[in-house]
Amino acid sequence: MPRHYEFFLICRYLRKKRLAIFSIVAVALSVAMLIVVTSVMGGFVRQYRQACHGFYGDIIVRADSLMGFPYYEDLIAQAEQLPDVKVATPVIKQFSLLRIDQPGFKLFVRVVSVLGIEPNGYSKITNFKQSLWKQSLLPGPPTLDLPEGFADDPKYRDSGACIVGVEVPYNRQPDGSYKRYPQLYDSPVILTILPLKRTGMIDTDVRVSHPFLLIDDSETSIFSELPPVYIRFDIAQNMSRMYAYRDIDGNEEPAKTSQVQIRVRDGADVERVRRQLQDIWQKIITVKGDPETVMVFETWDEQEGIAPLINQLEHDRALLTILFVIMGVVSIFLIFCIFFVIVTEKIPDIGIIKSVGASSAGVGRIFLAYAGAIGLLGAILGLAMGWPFVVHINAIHDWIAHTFGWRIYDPNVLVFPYIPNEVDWFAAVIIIASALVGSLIGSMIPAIRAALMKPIKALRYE
Amino acid sequence: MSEYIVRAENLVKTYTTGPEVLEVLRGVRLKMRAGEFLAVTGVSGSGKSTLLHLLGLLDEWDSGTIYFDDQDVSALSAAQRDQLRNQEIGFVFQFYHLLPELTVLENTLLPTMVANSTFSWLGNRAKLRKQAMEILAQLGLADRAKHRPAQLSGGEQQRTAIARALVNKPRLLLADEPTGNLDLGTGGRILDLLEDLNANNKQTIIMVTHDPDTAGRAHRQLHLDRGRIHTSSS
Ligand SMILES: Nc1ncnc2c1ncn2[C@@H]1O[C@H](COP(=O)(O)OP(=O)(O)OP(=O)(O)O)[C@@H](O)[C@H]1O
Ligand SMILES: [Mg+2]
Repeated sequence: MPRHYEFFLICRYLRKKRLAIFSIVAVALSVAMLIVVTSVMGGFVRQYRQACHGFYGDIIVRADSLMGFPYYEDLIAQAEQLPDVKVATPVIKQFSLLRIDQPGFKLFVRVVSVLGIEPNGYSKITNFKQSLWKQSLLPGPPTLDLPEGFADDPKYRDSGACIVGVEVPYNRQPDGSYKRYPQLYDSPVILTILPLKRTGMIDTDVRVSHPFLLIDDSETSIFSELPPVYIRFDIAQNMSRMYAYRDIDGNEEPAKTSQVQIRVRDGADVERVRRQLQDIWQKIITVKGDPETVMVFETWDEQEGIAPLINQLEHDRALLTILFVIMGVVSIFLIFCIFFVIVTEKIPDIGIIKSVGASSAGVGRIFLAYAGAIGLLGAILGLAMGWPFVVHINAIHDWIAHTFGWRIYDPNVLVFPYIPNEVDWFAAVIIIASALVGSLIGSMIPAIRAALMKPIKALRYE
Repeated sequence: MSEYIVRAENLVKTYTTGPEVLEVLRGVRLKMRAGEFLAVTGVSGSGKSTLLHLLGLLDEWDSGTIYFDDQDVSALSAAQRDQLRNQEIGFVFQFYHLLPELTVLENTLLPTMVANSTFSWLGNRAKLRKQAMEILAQLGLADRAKHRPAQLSGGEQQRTAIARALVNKPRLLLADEPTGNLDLGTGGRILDLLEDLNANNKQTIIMVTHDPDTAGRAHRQLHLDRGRIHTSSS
């Protein structure tokens, strides 16, 4: 049962000791630093995951070859029968050359990744529609058809419509935004695709360059090596020779796609759906005959080009966390030193308190509770410093950039326009708890030493 | 109730510093009746303070027995010894030993804060403060209650230490050279006070001193020499 002197002396020591204030500030700084770093780094990983996930289905079924794979209609039909699957949609992915020839874009040619999509299904799976500059606010699903006025124009009879990734024609400004040229929209561009024959060789007998009308752009915060250009699935299928046909020897070639993207219901077990899709595929090829295509069933974050970046970010965060844990250990050691000094300085007091009947446990409790109070006050102060820092990190960063000319965070390196500014509360709670535990551990040895001291020894201590 | 408040049998205390063993007490016997006023004398370094510390349960000894009310104190638990120190024994140190951060009143109240839980202390605060203030008034410290030890004279600090020793109304008061660092007049007033406590409150007192005049104010004197007690007068 704690006695009143314990409480009384803790308060008195807290009020009187400059050392106590230094310890509180030391704990607070460590806590604030850890909260800021874990929140910002965690925020980057989360933002990147969200941005990526918003641009792919949960599961992607694809052929491990540019040739694509057949029977995708059966796969989609059966996949959509699964209770956990919301939507499945085919996507054709091809390399292509995009040519723009406009004032300001004179013979502008880029390698791009053509994505043949069904706008309706694709925008149910991804944030495609929200990413569009002109169409995002229009009602209904996005369209990849020629706008009114062009559709009936014989000049554009052969044209398809395309939406380009914003990074295709424009460069990113230092502040992360894009400066658009309105005259670029509804202007003709050329896409060149090299279709493959059954043998995997380029088919030189067909037309490879096709006219398109650039109708919109899509701005996402994910980085891909090849910027995307979206066209309608059926057009992409025709251009890349993935449509169904019968060759001169009378062989039937089934229609093909590069991939099928699948969105599962919220909370569904993705792994289970993946296995179900693999089973469906097995059944289809037993019935229809095995095309011997190497098939890949992957989740969105296993895709080439995404997994390494996420791993990198998580690795960076882990590395930083380890560094800061080391700093935390150093802080605990500092707290230990401070407490050792505090206790040593208080040894005569301990002798006096014990001589009037205080118990060893009581003396130990004074110093432990004192440390606990310092840990708690430090953690609260640290949170009070770290929280607003995280929330206002962009303003603080702008201010530093403006005042001292240091731009630490370059939005061109990572594709997010802002530094994440949400406190990671889960991490914050762990950090605060660690600060408390750390203070207690740091003061444990001095407290035990104080508790075990014989009164006379303490009084005579020099 | 036993005849003797405190009794020591064959107390032996040695200090070991490296290879040297210093036998300070070599079989001390001592008996105290309730209401007695005893002076322990001896030259400097004869072990007077050491003996008093043992009687105050502030240190450990090598062999022998101390009885408090016929109870062998080494058979008591640590908690019971703490309780005894807090409730039954008041100790006045040779060098005052006040807590520098606390006021005179707070220093005086310290033993009551050890005796009470926060809950009961807050409940009895008014009463306890009043008692402490009465003791301080008795010792002429009423107007010094809010001062810190550093702001006091040596005599005032010594009286504060006495007030602290008395606040829980212990049956045994142990005073180590209570006048040792004070001038004649101040020391004399402290002695008057102890005599008064003994005469009017039946306070049992063991006082250590090396000064024969001071020792003469007690009822009985014990002389400590080469680690043993020699009764010198009554
Ligand atoms: N912790 C210790 N370690 C070693 N020797 C000690 C210790 N404490 C006391 N002594 C020695 O024990 C002897 C007795 O000391 P004590 O303080 O009891 O003497 P005293 O009679 O009170 O002297 P004084 O009149 O000067 O106060 C002294 O020689 C002292 O040096
Ligand atoms: Mg002495």
